[in-house]
Amino acid sequence: MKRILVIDDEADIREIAQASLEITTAWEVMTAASGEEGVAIATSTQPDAILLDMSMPGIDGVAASQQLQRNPATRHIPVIFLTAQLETAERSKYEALGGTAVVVKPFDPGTLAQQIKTALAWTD
Amino acid sequence: MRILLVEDDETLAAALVETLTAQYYAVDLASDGEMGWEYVQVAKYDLIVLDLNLPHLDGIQLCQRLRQHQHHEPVLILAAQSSSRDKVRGLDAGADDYITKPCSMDELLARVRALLRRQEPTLRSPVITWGEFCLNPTACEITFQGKLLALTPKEYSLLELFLRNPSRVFSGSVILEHIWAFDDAPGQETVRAHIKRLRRKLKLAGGGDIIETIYGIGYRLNDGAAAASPALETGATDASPTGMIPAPDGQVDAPVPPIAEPESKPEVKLESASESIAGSSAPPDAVTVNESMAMADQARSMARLAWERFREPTLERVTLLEQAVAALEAAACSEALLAQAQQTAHKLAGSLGMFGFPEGSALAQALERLLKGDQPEANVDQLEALVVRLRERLHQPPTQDAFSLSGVPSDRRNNGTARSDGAEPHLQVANSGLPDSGLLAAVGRKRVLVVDTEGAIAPDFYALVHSAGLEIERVTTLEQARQVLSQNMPDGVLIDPAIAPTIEAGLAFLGELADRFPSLPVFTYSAQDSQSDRLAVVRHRGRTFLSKALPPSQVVQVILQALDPLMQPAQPTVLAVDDDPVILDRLTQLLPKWGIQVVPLADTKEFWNALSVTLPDLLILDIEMPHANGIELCQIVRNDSTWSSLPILFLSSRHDAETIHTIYHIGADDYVHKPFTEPELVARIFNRLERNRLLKNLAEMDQLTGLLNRHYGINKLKHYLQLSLRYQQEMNVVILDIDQFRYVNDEYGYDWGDRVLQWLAHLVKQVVRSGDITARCGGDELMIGLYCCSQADALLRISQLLQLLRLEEFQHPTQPGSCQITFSAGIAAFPKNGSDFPSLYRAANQALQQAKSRGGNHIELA
Repeated sequence: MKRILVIDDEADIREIAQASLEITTAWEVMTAASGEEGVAIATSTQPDAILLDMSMPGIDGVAASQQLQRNPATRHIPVIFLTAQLETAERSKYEALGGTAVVVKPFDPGTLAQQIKTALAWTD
Repeated sequence: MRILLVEDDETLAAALVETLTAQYYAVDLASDGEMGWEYVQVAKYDLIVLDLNLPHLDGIQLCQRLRQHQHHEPVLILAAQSSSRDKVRGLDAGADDYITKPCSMDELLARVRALLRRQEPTLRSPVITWGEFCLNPTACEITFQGKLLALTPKEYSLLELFLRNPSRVFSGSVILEHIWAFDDAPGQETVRAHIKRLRRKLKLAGGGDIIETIYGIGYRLNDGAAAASPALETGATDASPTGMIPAPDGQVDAPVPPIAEPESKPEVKLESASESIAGSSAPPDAVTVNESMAMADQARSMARLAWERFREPTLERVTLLEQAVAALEAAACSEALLAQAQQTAHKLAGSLGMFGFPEGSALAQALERLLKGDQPEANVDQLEALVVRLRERLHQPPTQDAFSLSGVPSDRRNNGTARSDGAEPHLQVANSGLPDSGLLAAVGRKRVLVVDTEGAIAPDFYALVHSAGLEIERVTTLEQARQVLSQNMPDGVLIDPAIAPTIEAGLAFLGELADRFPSLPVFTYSAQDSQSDRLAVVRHRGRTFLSKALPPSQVVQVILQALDPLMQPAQPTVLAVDDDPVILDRLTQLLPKWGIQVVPLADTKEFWNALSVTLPDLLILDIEMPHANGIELCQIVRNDSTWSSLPILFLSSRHDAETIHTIYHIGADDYVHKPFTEPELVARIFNRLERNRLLKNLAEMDQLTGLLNRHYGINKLKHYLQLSLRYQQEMNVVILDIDQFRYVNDEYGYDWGDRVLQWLAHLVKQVVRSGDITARCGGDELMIGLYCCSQADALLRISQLLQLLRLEEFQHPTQPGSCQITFSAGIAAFPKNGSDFPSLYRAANQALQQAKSRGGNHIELA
């Protein structure tokens, strides 16, 4: 069974992402409300993928993904960025950060799981 | 027709009751606001006439309360206050018209008629209540005692028919006529079966036996049963996959049951294959299309439910935006407040769409862009209008359209953009298909390939193009351009021929484009615009020449026009006819600020032409003009069935009773007299547009598929044919029909057949462009009109559609095994196969029959 970690400071986004994935898949979904918390949970629980919000107070998406990259324990975990707008120029930034894909907010709760599966080429 | 009069002045009330009764209206009189509110809740009115100064609850408050509670009865305010501020207040509170006391009884009656005329009998008030049943056609939901009934689409239509016509007896054949299209009409026994099932469900829900059989005649609602029935244990949560998804009570928080490793489920059919959380310990079944769609719907309805809890904090964020905008207006916005507002707009943009407010996200995004711009204080008017619209939208319920968030296939838009720069081949962009900017939420985005040297085009040009609803793909070499063209065809190309290596190569590329893609719009965008430069472009068969000296907005306008002459901006368009240039000037300055596009017209001789080219959402007419006066123009419009529902507003300096009477008599909707004030005019225009949009949606859509219905589909097609004739464009009419649909219905049941149709309609929307016509002609017959499209291209699109449909394996609802659905189609081309609708329809139909005779699963050209 896949386990997904959602890191976002916004309670509504966290809740909808979690509920949407739980309704449409059998994955276990964990959530974290800040970058610090997210990195800690990722290290201790080793999820199969991380959904990471870009703009958070404190440790934001950029800093969190760098920490995940530096840590040998979390380096291998695919990271999908959650971001509100996507400018063409920003794409290279996400890739430089080691992101696998970007999910644009607002996402469709009905197809979020599908977007993740497609991005990570999961076939279950 | 039943009218509620809320008036506390006894003398006036008596006079009004007498006048209205003499016109055969049934009139109820309420002497204060609270009483009026009580009346509205127990009886159904066709119109409410409302005084403003009322004891207990005043007219404005009552009107607001009505609209908040989904009462859509037309409201006419009758008040002594004549200032335009009061009128604006009344209209903004949701009234449809405003008339000042004292007034002539004739004018009042004329206004009453004008309002009633706009109410088609079947469209009276969107929400219908009968006993404890409540039908909301916008959401296609019927509730009993506030609980949602889980009905199949057919059961819904059936119950809707009864609820809309509470006293009428319907024979089996009339029911067939209303609910089934004639091509696949089943026998009367099917009607009986559906009635039986519906009765059973209603009984289970505690609604009693509300459908009464009148032996030998038919069925009708049984008035006595509605209230008397005892409330039984509700068992109406139908497990049928086509039924409405019951609210996932508590399911969100339910613990996820342990589920076997996905690898151990080899029989899994589709991507979205995993158990729903309601899954039991039974062996996991293969997840069907229906189930995965149902789960997606469930996830969406969960998000809409979550809105209840997040509404307050979200509205607080809007309040913060309002404060920031007010501070900007007063030039007192601190850096901190501005930063906070930017952040807030950003967050709203990211979240509203998920709750079912895609337009909310678009509005917040527009706000964010303006707030982050160089001079937000210079755009205060626009900011204010956006915030107002945002708040208004959030006070309405979230959209229920299941496909509104997933209409665009997620891979189509991204392939090209991700690939083009070459630098980021691995990064995928998953996209929900939501509009990611601008207010053009409804329009499918067009992609334009821009071929130009790096940095040669100013960034604000891109921003403008983007906000106009176009998607840009930039490349800097001809080689990259060729690659994009071969992989992911854009809708248009904008190219500066002065691109490396030489201008000759750039010009030669224009010729190459003309050869390879004769119908692709290509715009030459050049800084060199002398006559010899233009000539060089023409010689290389470049088509549209745009000088870089032109203002960017004009360039965007040309591109939009050329890409799709019928691409209707979400901005409403108003055609204003007046021979006074001062008035036209004032309108063109004033209305765009409010997001209304104005097409001014001074010459009435051009009227009909302008009308059919601009396709306005509203018409403003002056009365006295040379050649043809406004009254005559209004009559021309009303005489043509295409325009019978176009809102018409008169703007005139004449305000004698006779003129006003004439105006309403000939079918005008509203009247504003000159000199007018900006807020009043704008409020009246918005009011009309909003009302019309609501009625249009109800009248033009096929409820099952969300496509146009037969009537409007054909009307629109005829109109496009006229345009094709005028602009010498090719156009194609496609008729398609699901193979063996009768068998599908018999074997799998009608609910399942409905689901197949919905799925097909969903796929159709993916393969056509925004300007194309898609209609359900009846039964399983769909009609598609492809404008500006060669027959080969039409064949390609329809083949693509057939392939998409064949990809789906439809699981039998009850038994193991699945089947594939295919369709047959006939394509007729204008002008090759005919020049009018009947001949094209015949030709397409013949081709369809040929395709069928070849065994189906086939597309035939006429």
